[in-house]
Amino acid sequence: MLPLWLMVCLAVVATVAVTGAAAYFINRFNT
Amino acid sequence: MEFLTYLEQTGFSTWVRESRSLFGYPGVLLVHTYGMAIVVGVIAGIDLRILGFAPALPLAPMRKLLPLMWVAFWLNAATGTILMVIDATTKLRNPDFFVKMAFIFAAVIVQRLIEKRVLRDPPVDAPLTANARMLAALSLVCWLGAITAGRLLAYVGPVSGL
Amino acid sequence: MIDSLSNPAHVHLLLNHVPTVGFGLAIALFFVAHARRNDDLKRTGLVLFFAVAVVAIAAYLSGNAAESVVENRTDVSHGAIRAHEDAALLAFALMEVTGFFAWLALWQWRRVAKLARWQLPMVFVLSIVTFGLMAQAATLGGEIHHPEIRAVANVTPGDTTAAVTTGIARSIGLWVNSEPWVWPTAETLHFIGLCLLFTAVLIVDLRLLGMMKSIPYRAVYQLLPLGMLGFALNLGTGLLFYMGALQHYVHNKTFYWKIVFVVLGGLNILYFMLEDDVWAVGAGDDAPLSSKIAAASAIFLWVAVLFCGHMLPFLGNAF
Repeated sequence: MLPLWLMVCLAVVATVAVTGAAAYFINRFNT
Repeated sequence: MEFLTYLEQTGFSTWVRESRSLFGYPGVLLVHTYGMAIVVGVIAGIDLRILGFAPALPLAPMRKLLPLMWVAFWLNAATGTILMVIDATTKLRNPDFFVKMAFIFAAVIVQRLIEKRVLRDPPVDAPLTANARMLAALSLVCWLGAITAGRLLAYVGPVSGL
Repeated sequence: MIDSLSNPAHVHLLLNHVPTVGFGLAIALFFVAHARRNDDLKRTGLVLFFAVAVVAIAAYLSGNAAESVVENRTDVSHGAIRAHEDAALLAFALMEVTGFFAWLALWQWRRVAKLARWQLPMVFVLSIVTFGLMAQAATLGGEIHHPEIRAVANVTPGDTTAAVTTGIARSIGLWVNSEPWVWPTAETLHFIGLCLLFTAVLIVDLRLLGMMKSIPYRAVYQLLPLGMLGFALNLGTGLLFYMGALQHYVHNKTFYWKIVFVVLGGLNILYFMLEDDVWAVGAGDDAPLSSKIAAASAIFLWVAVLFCGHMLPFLGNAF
């Protein structure tokens, strides 16, 4: 079991990466 | 340590922490939250633009948002200090607090660099340099770190009853 | 009549007509728009899909409060409530996806004369599937307290055994609480989402109110999807909070008002996409009064959402 702060950081980064990818593609297909 | 205890137990600290008034802890934290929304809102807008998002947006006029951002920043420095002081013995023994401060320190340095070097004279059509994009990405990472570390304050390290 | 708005069961029953009947009418309109090849009607359909998806947020969230009103009645089936809740969650999730893609098509349509070929068909397919799921959720909802239409075998009034007190929605709530990293992660993402929302709100609305006048509106228009992504993040994480801590939200007046402001804020976005006067605001132009009012109200609404959210434990009775 990873320490709490690490799990939170990983989950946050993963979600931000996914959201960022969505933003990137929406941006790409609209420029 | 005694000094920290003293800070926590002043009349002011005690009032902020324990009064049921909305102008105490709830109000201080509310201002801190609005401040974060404005600081990160403005900076994210500028950073994302530097990174190529919303390319029709001209960077130069966005500089006009910076005074608002800095006002919000100093408001957060003030409210943040209050939030720290009312819980000094816990916060200043919590490594996560220093992680947050480090991210903010780095974010401010990166922000000043962006203001001096990138926002100085951005022609609308010229592609932004790789350096500029790196600074923008770094800025976003720093604020992401500050937000995460800030939120984790209630969950990691020594936490008070607050 | 105003009194009934403070009865959560009544509110839920009122709102439920929107994602069912309302949505059905929207689909019919969308279909007619395609049959007649009428772009304006198609846009109207997209607007309706988005508006219904926004109101559906309130419709879904009012469900658990409605449950608290009826749950102790002996003629009510807890199994039916759980089944309805789970069907509603699935339908709601798909409704929000439909609403997002309808919004995206609407947003793009301002900027390009023709949308990509797959977009409207995709919205159409999503809407049909969503409608089917909504119809099922509605039917299951009817079984909660309409014994005359109940399929005999499924439901036993007054049954409170474990088999009928859990379900997908409840399981998600249990999961949120069982893993210690979920709540802090969701909170962090909720803050990030609100910052993204404020990026869009600040830049778009301050421009219309007179700052940064050299920027034409069509440039700040490109920031709207960023705001929508922030909104989507917060809707998702918000649902996790809600399902994980129902007791703190269901009878919380501050939460009630937060959702009212969220729905108004969501509908308010439509102005910035539909109004021709605001699209015409060019570099150096002063925005018309109506745009300024819309911009100021947008700032007010999202500031109010943040206020209510923050005040949940202080003004409301949460936690």
